[in-house]
Amino acid sequence: MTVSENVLDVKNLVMHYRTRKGPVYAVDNVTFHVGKGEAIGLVGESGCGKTSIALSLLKLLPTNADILNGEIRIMGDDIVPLPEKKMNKRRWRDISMVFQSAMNSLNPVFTVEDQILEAMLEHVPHLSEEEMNEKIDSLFDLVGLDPSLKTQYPHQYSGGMRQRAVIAMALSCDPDLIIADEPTTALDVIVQDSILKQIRDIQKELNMAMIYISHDIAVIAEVSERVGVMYAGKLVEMSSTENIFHNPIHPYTMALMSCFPSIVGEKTELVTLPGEPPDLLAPPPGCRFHPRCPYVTEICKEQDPDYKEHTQGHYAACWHPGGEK
Amino acid sequence: MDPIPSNHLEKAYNYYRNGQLSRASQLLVELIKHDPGHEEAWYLLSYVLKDLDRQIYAVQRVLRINPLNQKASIRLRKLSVLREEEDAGETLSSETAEGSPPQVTRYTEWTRDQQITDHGFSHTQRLKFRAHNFWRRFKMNWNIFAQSRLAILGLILVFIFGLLTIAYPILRNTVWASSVYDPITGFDMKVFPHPVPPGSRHLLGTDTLGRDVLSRLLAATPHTFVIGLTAAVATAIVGTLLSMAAAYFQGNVDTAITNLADVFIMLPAPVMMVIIGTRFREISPFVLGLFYGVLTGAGGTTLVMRAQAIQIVSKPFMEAAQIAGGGGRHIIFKHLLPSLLPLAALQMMVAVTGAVVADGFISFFGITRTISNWGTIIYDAFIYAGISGTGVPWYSLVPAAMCFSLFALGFYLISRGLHRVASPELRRR
Amino acid sequence: MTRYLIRQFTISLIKLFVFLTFMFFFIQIVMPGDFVDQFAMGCDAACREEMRVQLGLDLPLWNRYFHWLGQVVRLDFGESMFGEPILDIFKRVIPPTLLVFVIGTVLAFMIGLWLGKVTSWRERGIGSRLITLGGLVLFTSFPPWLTYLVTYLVTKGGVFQVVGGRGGLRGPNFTGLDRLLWQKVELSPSEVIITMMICVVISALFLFLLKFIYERLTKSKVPTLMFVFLIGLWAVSGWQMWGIDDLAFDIMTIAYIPMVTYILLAFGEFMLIMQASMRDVKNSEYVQIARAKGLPESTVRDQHAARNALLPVLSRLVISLPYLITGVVIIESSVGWPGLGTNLWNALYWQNMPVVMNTLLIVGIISLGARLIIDVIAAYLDPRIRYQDFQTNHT
Repeated sequence: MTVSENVLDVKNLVMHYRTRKGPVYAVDNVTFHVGKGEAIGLVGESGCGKTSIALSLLKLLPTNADILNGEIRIMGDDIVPLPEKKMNKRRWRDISMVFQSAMNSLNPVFTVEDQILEAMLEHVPHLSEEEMNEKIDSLFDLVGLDPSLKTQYPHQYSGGMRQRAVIAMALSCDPDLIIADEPTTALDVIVQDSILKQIRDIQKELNMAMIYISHDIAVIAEVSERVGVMYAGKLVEMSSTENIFHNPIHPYTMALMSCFPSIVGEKTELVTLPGEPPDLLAPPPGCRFHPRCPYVTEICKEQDPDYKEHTQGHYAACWHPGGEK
Repeated sequence: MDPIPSNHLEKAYNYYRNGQLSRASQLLVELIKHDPGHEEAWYLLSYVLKDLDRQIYAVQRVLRINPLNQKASIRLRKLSVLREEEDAGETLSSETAEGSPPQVTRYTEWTRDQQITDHGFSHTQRLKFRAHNFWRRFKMNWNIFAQSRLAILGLILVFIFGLLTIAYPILRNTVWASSVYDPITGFDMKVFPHPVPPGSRHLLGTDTLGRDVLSRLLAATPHTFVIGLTAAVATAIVGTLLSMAAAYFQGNVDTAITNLADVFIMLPAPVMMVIIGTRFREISPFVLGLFYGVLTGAGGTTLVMRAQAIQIVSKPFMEAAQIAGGGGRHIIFKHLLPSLLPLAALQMMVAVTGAVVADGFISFFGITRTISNWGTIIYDAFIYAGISGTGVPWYSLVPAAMCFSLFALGFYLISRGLHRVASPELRRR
Repeated sequence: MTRYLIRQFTISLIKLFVFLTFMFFFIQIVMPGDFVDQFAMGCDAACREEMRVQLGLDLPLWNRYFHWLGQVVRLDFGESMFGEPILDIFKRVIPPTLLVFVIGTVLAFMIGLWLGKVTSWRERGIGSRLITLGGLVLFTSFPPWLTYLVTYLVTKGGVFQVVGGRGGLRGPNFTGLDRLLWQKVELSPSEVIITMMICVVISALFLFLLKFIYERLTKSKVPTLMFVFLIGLWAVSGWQMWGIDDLAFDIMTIAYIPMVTYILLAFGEFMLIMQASMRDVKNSEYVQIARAKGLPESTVRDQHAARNALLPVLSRLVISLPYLITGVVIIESSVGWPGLGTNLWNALYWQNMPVVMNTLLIVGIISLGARLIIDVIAAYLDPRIRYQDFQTNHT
C-alpha cells in the first residue's frame, strides 16, 4: 500500500494543551491511516483525546493548544505546516465534520439552507445557483429530510432533524473524509438507530472515508471496519472490528469489552476497572495504563511500550499483548 | 406526547420519596427505554441509583441531553466532590464511626440532598461531614474564582481598602494630632500657604482649607464601606425574595413582580438619592445605602435574578418535587435558594459600585454637606479652587478620584470572578 | 407582531402611570417645604400664603395630583411655577439632551460591541487585555471626575465649572458658542440641533435601506465603519443643504465634550457584556462548525459568533437603559450642558413641581420607547423571537 492510496495518514501526532498547571498531552504519538472509502472507529473514555484528534485533523484547536510533532497527510499532503488561509481552502472540501451536539450544531439565526449554501459558496463557487439548490435538495433527500424544510430555522427542527441537516451540510462539498464525533449521543435511541444506519449507508453509497468517534463501542462496531482504542491520549490498539471484539490483545481493550455501560439490572453486571484514568497533567511513567492493568510487571512501570504491528493489521502498544507474561 | 411517561415520572418520584428505590428505578428505566432523551427521568434516576459511579453516569446523561441543566451540573459537581472524597471519607469514617452503615449506603444517603434524614449518624459526625463537604465545595469554587487573575486583583484592592478603614482610627489615636488631621476642621498651622503639594510632612499634600488629604481619604473609607455593603446586602435580600416569590408562585404574582421591577428600574437612583439627601441633610450612610439597595434590588436585581429563578423552577426535578407535593418551603429553601445565591453575590458586588458612585455624586453636588466622603473631597477641590483662584489642586483631586475608581474596580473585578463561579457554561474553559 | 407591540405599548403606559404617581407623592412628601419656601425667602407668612393660593399650592396633595393628571391626559404640559410654558422649556432643553443621548448611546453601543467582539476573539493578546482593563477603569470611574478629565484634556484646562450645590447652580444656557455667529441668525441653538438630528436620522434610515437592498442583491457585506462614515457624510451635507452648517459645527465644538464623556462612561459596560456573551458563543458548536467549514475568520467572528452574542446584550441593554439615562443626567449637570438633566436639577432645587413631573414623564417615555425599539430589533435579529407566539410576555 503506497501512501497516496490513503485518504488520511497520521504519523506520530503529538498535541498538547498549555494550561497554567503545565502542558497536557491530549494526543501523544498517535499513528494511523484511513484508506479510501474506509470507515474506522475511535473509541475511548471521555477525556482520552478522541475529540482532540478530530480537532487536530481539521486544525481547529483552541488557542492554547499546539501540534508539537507529527504529520497529518490528507491525500498525501501534509497539512500541519499549512497556513490558516490555505487550510481554510481544504476544510470541508477535503475533511468535514459532524459534531457531537445535535442541538447546538446549527446557528440559530440563519436558515438551514443559508448555512449549507455558505459552505458551498466558499468551496465550490463555480456552481451556478440552480446547481447549488439542486444539490441541497438532493442532499436533503439523501439524509431523509423533506427539501421543502430547508428554508426553515434550526429551532423549528427536532433534534434528529437537526443532526440530519448537519450531516447534509457535511456532505455538501463532497469531502474525501468525514469525521463524525459522537453524532448520535445527544439523540434518543430510535432516532440514533436510524441516523446511524443512514450514516453507514451514505458512507457506503458515496464510498467516502469516515472516522467515527464514540465512547460507545456497540455503536462503533455497527459502523466501522477498523477500530482504534484510545487511552489517556494514546492509541493503544487498532485492528479490524472483528479482532477488537473477539481477539483483543491490549488489557484495556479487554476490560472495555467486558464493561458495556449498562444501567439496567444488578450492579454485579458492571465490571469496572479499578482506579481512574490518569491525570494527563502528570501521567504515570512507562505505560500509561499500568496502574490499572492486571498484568502489570516492572517493565510496564518504566518503559512506554512501542505501538507496533503484532499480527497482520493488528497494532497494539503493550508489553504483554493478550495478557501473556 | 404520551400519557404513560409523565405518569411514570410522578409515580417514580413518589416511590423515591417513600424510599422504595428499586421500584422507582424500575419505572424510570422503563421510561428511559421508551424515551432515552428523557431529561427528567435521567435526572431522577441519578438520585435513585445506589452506586456513585452510576449516579454520575446518569447525571452526565442529563447534561448530554441538556448541557444547560443547571441543577444537573450542580449535582454533577457535588457528586464528583464525593467521588474525590471517597478516600478522604474512608479515613473519616474509620476515625469516627464504628459500625456505621456500609459506605455505599452512606454516600447515597448523603447525596440525596439531605432530603431523607441522614439517619444512622451521630450529630457531631454529621456536622463534621457537612463541614468537610462545605470546605471541599468552597475550595472548588475558590479554584474557579482564582483562575481569573483580575478577580484576585479585585480581592486585593478591597482588602487594601479594608486595611485603610482600620488605619484611620489607629493613626488618629497614636500619631496624628486631631487639630491637624481632623477630616473636617483640621488645619496645619505650620504650613503656609495652603494647599501644599505632597511632601514628607503631608504625604498627599493638603487641600485649600489646610486639611491633610490623606487623613481625609482615610476618614472617608469606613463611610464608603458602610454605604456599599448596606446597599449590597439590601439589594441581595430584596432581589432574592422577590425573584423567589415570582418563580415560586408564577402566574399573576410573577407578572406583577416583573412589571413592578420594570417600574423600579425607571426610578433614577441618583435623583432619588438627591431627594432623600435634601430632606435628611445629616442622613447616615447606612440609610442611604439601604435606600439605594432597595431601589436597585426591586429593579434590576430582581429582573436579572427572576430570569434565573424561573429557569431553575422549570427544571424537571422541581416539577417532580411539586407534583409529589414536596412542600413550598422545602422547594424554596432546599433548591431555589442555594441555586440563586451565587447570582445574588454577583448582584451585590455590582450594587456596591453603583451605591458608592451615587453617594459620591450627591456629595459632589454638595447636597449632604456634613458627610465627609470622597465625593466631598472632589467637590471641595473644585469649589475652593474657584474661590481662592489657585487652580484645582490635582493632589487632592486625583487621589480621591482614584479611590473611587479603585474601590469600584475592586468590587467589580470580584463580581467578574463570581460570575465564573455562578455560570457553569463558562466554567468549562 | 402588531398585536404584541400594541400589548407592550399598553403595558408601558400603565408602567409610566405607576412610575409618575409614585414619583409625584414621593417628591412632595419627602422633600421639605415647597416652591414658595425656596423662591420667596424674604417674604413674610401672609405674602407666602398669597403666593401659594395663586400657584395652587394650598390645595391638598390629592387635588394637585388629579389636576396634574388631567393636564397630562389632555396632553397639556401646563406652566412652570415661574410662569413659562413647559412646552417652551422642553423645546429648549430636550434637543440638546437627545443629541448627546441618542448619538452617544448609538456610538457607545457600536464601539462597545466592536471592542468586545475583537477583544474576546483574541482574548490572550496584550492589546485585548489593555483594552479590557481600560474599559473597566472607565466604566468604574466617578462620572464628574471623568468629565473634568475630558474637559481638561481637550481644552488644556479651564471651562469646567462645578454645577449644582446650593447657590452654585448655573442657568441653562450654552456657554462657549460663537456669539457673533448666532447674532446674525434668528435660530436658537435648540432649533438648530433639531434640524441636525433630523438630518442624521433621515440619512441613517435612508442609508440603512440602501445597505439592505445592496446586501440582498450582491450577497456581500458593507463594512460597518464605512457605513457609519457615510451616515456622517450625508448628515453633514444635509446640514449644508439647510444652510446651518456653520451653526451646527459651532454647536459640535461644545457638544463633543459631554458626548465624549458619555461614550467613555458607557462603552465599557457594553464591551464587558459583549465579551461575556462572546465567550459563551465562541465555544459553541455552531461556531466550531463555521470554522470547520473553512469560512474566513472574519466571517466566523462577525456573522456567526457576534450575531448570536448580540442577543443577550440586547436584553441586558433593556435593563441598563435607565442607568444610561441617569448617566446623561449626571454628565449634563457636570459640564453644564443645558439639557433635560440640568433642567431637572434646577427644577428639583426650586421644587418646581410641574417641571419636575413633566421631565420625569419625558424621561419615562424615552426609556420605554427605547425599550420598544430594542424589542423590535431583537425580534428582527432572532428568528426564535420572531416566530414565537407574541402574546407571551418575554421579559
